[in-house]
Amino acid sequence: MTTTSAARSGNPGRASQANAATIALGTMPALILLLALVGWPIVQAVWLSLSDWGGVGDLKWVGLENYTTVLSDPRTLRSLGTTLTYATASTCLIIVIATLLAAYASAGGKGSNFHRIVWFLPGIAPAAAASIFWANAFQPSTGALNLILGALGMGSRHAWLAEGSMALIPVIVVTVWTSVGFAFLIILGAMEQIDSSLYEAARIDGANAVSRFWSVTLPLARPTIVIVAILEFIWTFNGFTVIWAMTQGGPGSATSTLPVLVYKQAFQFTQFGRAAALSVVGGALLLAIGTVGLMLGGSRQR
Amino acid sequence: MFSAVLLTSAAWAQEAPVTLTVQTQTGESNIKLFSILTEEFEKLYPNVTVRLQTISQDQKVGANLAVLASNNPPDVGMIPINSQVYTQLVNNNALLPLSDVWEASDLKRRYGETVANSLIVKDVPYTVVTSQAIYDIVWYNPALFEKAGIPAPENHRIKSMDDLVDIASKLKAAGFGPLQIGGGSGYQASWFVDALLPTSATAVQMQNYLQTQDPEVQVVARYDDAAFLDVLMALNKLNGAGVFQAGFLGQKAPDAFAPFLAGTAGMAIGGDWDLVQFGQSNLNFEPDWALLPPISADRKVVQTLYFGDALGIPAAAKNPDWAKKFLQFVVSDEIQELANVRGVGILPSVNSLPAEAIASLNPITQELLADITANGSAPGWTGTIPGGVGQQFLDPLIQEMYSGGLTPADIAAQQQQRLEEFRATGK
Repeated sequence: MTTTSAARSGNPGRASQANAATIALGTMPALILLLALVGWPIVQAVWLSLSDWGGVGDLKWVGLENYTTVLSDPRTLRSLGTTLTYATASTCLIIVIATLLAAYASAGGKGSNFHRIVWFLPGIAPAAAASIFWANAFQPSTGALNLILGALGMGSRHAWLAEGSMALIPVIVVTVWTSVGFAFLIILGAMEQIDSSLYEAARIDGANAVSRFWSVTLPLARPTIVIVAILEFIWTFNGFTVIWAMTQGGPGSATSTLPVLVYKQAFQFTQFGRAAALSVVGGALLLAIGTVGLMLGGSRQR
Repeated sequence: MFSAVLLTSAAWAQEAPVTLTVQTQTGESNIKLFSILTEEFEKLYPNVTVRLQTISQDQKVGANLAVLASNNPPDVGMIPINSQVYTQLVNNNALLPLSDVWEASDLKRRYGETVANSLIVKDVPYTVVTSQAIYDIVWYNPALFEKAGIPAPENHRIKSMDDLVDIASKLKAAGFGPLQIGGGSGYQASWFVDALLPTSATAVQMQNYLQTQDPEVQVVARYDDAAFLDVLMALNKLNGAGVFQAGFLGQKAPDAFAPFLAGTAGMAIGGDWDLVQFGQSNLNFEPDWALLPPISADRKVVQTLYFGDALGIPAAAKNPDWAKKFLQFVVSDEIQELANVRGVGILPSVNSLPAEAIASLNPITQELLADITANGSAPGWTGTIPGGVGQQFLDPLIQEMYSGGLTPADIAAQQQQRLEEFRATGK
């Protein structure tokens, strides 16, 4: 019995059941794919985190031993701190820059079309190639940045990547450079959906451009900005390519984020169980942060 | 032995076509060596096509484990014996024993005791090595030394740490780079331990350091003993005195080496493989070589040897018999001379080549070999013990010490703790 015929026969319960069945059937392929490509690997990762495995041979069940080991290791806490710093700083900068750019472009500012293209270009360059380029650019004496600073009389021997306290800064800069374009385009799309009559009304009320941005643009684009912020946070939290290509987690462990630690545990020390445990811990943390972020974000359209 | 193989090649030519997959590391001399090996092997066995599979330095010591342990591995894998890749493959019987290859090629005698012992695990060899390398060489630019008023190191040896500091200071004062090292490479920071530890530890201690990753070997030399600690303290002192170039911790090895090739840095740490690059770089100077100063004034630094980039056959290899033939082929005297010595200009892995073959090597290589004959050599600590308790563990700690985050005593304590964990768990 189809939904239509059920409704025609005057039986809303049956119509609702038929509806549910159709929905279930329609989503089944996607659900199967999700379970196979996402769910099953997660189950395997959790199983691995409860085992001892050196990359070859059989798994040996060890229960929570890997979690005890990694959570009591000071390197883990340091790495988590570095990861949170890296992800938070990168995300904030990406969102602020992308939002300001999007506001400018959506207001039809001069050169807005130019900005739409130029800011997206770094995002389509291969991350590894971009990172290697920038790692060379940050070198003292011979790197492009130091040459420019030297020409401006600001010294040319800055060795940002060699100092533990500074090495994360160039990494954040490169991450922002490669990521801001995507965020900009998404936020711009959201801003261009805002009804122009709202801006008109605000203008009539005497609001200037800055006031209109704070009272109209930001609140209405907020849900999209929050989603983009959460996504960027997740991507930078899990980011590996830029850091590995630029510093390999060094100097020492100064830029050793959680993904770098996972890589080293798995592929340098063949401690795949501990690497999986670190991944699960990181995933749980991201889930918590993402959930809180979604709860706090919400449209102000009401 | 090789002639006998040649005589049967006609028979093999009638065999079914075979594609043999062989791994090699990226890099000028590796690619050149394996291209020659491929060409010669295919000439000998026309039914075989050798397909080279290149892997990076990173992959070699890490992700390659998954490839070699898979059910579709290459027939011949590149397996550094100082990596966890090797340790895990051997511990899990994922490599074919090569006792027959060793016996047919008389490798125990032709490698010599030190090399042979490092490749045999519980009386079974699982790999062969195709070349040896000399590293921890301090290449220096005599022209810059002269401009900076620095006399050339006598007998190619920098006498003391103070002398090294003095040389670096004079080079910097003259506007040149001091000792270039790729501190961010993940291996060059710990190379210095390989050169200096034999001058700090006794022979018994040194032998113990090279073996105690095996839980059946009694620990006689601890890493928190003075022998190891003194090395770390010396390195910390060198860093504090500004011996290394500015920003070295953020530079990989090629970035650090470039100023030396350009003639703007006075010294650079490297190995005999750099001679290939010198030949191709149109240098505007003639580089010379020296060795690092010893920890104890009464000791002498000797050449540090690496023979760890070995070839092995994964247990799931599709063509194990042909793979064994390939290994026998690459360690034969004829091919060692043709490919290593005359083709690329690098050292053979065997000691059975005639003197006239070695005489065709680069003059600097001849000097290095003569120095080994006169003063001896030593296997590098990081080049011999598993990376999980050696290079891959220690190098980031040394970087952190150079950044001011750890003291030598901290590192020594962590290194000892790591050894104990490795002895207990095998990883």
